[in-house]
Amino acid sequence: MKEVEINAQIATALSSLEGMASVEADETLLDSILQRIHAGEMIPMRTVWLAAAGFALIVWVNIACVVFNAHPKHESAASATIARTYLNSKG
Amino acid sequence: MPKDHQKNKATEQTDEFRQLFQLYKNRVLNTALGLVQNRQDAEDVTQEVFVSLYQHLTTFRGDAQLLTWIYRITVNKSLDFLKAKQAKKRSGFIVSLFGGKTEAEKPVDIPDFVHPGVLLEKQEAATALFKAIQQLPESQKVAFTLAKIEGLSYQEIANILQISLSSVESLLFRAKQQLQKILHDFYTNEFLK
Repeated sequence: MKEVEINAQIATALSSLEGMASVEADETLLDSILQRIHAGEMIPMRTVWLAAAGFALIVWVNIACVVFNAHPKHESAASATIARTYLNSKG
Repeated sequence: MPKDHQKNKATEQTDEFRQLFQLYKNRVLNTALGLVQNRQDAEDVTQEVFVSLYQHLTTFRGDAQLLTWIYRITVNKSLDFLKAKQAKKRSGFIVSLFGGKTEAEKPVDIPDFVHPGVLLEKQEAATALFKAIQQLPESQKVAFTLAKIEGLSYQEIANILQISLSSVESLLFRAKQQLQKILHDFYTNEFLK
């Protein structure tokens, strides 16, 4: 008796989705989606700041290269003289 | 002049998107609702799906291809949502091990889900069925939801899941067997109470 009753309940559960109505989506959902889309299309301020910082870094590196380029010339000449003197002394 | 052209193009795209939303909103919401079994969560998934749709709008032109893609992305987003929810619960459990109070402290139980579309006299039975569906393996759950809630044909399900027709038949057969087993245990326990 018990098993028969359980089987009947299983059958009822399995057929419970028959005749089910479709759930209607809320119209406000579209507004939320469009808001999200348009917010995503705008460039975030953080990106702008990062780009500006990157550009400033490139300029600074360039200036640093120009300044330090003046010194290596003397240094390399001095190094060459020392090397030449060393090699000469070795014969 | 090019700015006007750009503006017109954007408006045109938004209008096309509005039309698509009206066409597919209920299919997306119902599929997501069947899988995540919570109205608020299903609406979140629906938003995700339509944002993706907007981003890929220019890629799709064929209607049949678009519908299959919409179903596929709805399934994927719903499953991702469920995985994220599970992961959150698990991380909550770890926090609770270190003395934090989280949701994981509540007993682990699948919440009752009353589908708003189910007929009133069938709601109790449907709640038991939805609880059983949640315990199915992922692929069986998806195939069963698409077949029984969305009423899709085996061929449509095969296209969405990118599997063969015989695989769909096999998935649905195993899902039904598994559901019968889960429901049998459930009603036996109810009977003993």
